[in-house]
Amino acid sequence: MRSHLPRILIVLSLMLNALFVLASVIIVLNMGGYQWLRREAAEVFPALRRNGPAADYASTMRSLFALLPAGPDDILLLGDSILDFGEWNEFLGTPRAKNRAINGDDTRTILSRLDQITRARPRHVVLLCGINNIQNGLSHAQTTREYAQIVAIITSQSIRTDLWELPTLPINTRVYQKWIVPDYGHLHMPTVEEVAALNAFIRTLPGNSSRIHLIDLPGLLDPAGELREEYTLDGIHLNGQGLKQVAIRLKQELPLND
Amino acid sequence: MRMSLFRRVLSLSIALNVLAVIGSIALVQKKGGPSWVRRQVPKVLGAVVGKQVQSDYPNTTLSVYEQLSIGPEDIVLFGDDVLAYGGWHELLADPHAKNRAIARDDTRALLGRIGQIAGGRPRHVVISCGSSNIQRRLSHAQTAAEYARIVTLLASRSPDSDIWLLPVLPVNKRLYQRWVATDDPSAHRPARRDVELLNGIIRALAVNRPRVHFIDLRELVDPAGELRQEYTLDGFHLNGKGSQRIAMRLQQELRLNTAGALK
Repeated sequence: MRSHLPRILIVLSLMLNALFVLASVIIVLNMGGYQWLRREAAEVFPALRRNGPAADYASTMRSLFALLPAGPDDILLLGDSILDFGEWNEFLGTPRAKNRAINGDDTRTILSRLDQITRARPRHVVLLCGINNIQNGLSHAQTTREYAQIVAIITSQSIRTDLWELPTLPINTRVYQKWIVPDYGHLHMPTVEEVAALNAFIRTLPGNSSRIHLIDLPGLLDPAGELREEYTLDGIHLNGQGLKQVAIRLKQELPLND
Repeated sequence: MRMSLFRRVLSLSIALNVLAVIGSIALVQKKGGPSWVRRQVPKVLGAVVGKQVQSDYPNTTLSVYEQLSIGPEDIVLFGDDVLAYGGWHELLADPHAKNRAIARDDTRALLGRIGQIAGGRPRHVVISCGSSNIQRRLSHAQTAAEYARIVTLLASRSPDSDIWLLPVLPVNKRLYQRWVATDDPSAHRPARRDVELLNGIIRALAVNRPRVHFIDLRELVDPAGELRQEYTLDGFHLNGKGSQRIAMRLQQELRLNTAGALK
């Protein structure tokens, strides 16, 4: 009996070894083989990182924005996925409205592509961002510093531009938990308080400037301060009805006929 | 002696197992804990069963298009990723150009929202579709039947529209392997043969239909039959230059007023 135990143990252990190897091979092959492995390894070992930016949605959009003409009559919509979903030329009824929002952008990535915006010296810039900072767990201090930088750069490098700040929109917790959390569980779920703190800062930025304006969007919020369920399908992005409400507010506030 | 070899192998094997377990736990913790594992499971299994990861993007985009209208002067860009990156009123320098594309849409998805397009009786409809069919391993017979139905329905419900069919673009294999295949391993990489077969089918839909036109986009393809590297970053989606090439072809073919054309 005693002499059998090591045998059973060794067979079991070797089988487990084989299982681990097999599982690793299957996972690596399914995830994309060598290229995937290399990309994952590069996250751990910076020396393996390839030069140049990743070929993702953001870099493809930037390559498009680099070619699209924009000029002093234009209204550029700058921000993250919330504005990205909008066909703004249609919503605002003017071809001067041009979408320059990129799904996934936060204040840092917007800062890094700001020259594409200021170079055009546009008539108006509409800015909506910040929720990705919160979702990515960036600190309030960093977010507000970078947000202020965006505003300062636009107003100093494009002095004829009117800048319209939209508040960072809160999420609808119930819908967010149902749709976003299962696919993006690694993201931090923004609380009403975090969004309110950011918006309190955004509200201070116009100061005495006559070129920086605030547009509030009270109609999009419910009594608890969350995004109204009717304006979102996944709890964070505005649906068509929600974007239309934003368009109505923009048409009320922006002097679109100058 | 025999026992000691036994013991050595056994302890090595057990040590390897312990290492593998610790390594797995450390990896999972670094990646984001149990929620990361939950998200990876459909990716890994998806590659086996050919399922897509769930996404909220198509429904939200559809809800946006539902709020917008189409009229008889409009040029509607109706299709998948090739057109969905948008900026068409800018690229075509025409305020009537309207983006109604949704990334990853296949022929069935287009069929499902064709009423939204045909109801507006637009002047032009530009269609790009088929890559997602190939990526989802749908049969050529099904794709051909659904594509034909899209064209027939559009032509009958909106008889004054000119319909412009774009070919399915091949991928750039090297870049696709590096970027797209690693992001979405469940998708089947479109092979040159699949793309050419499908394009033969699409081209045939324009035959004997005076309002239906096929625009080959040969300028985007290199001699080896791959998407030219200069027009894509990830080997699959068109970059700005690629979209601009399509816009230039559309301006020529649709005889748009190019007064405010691109540089």
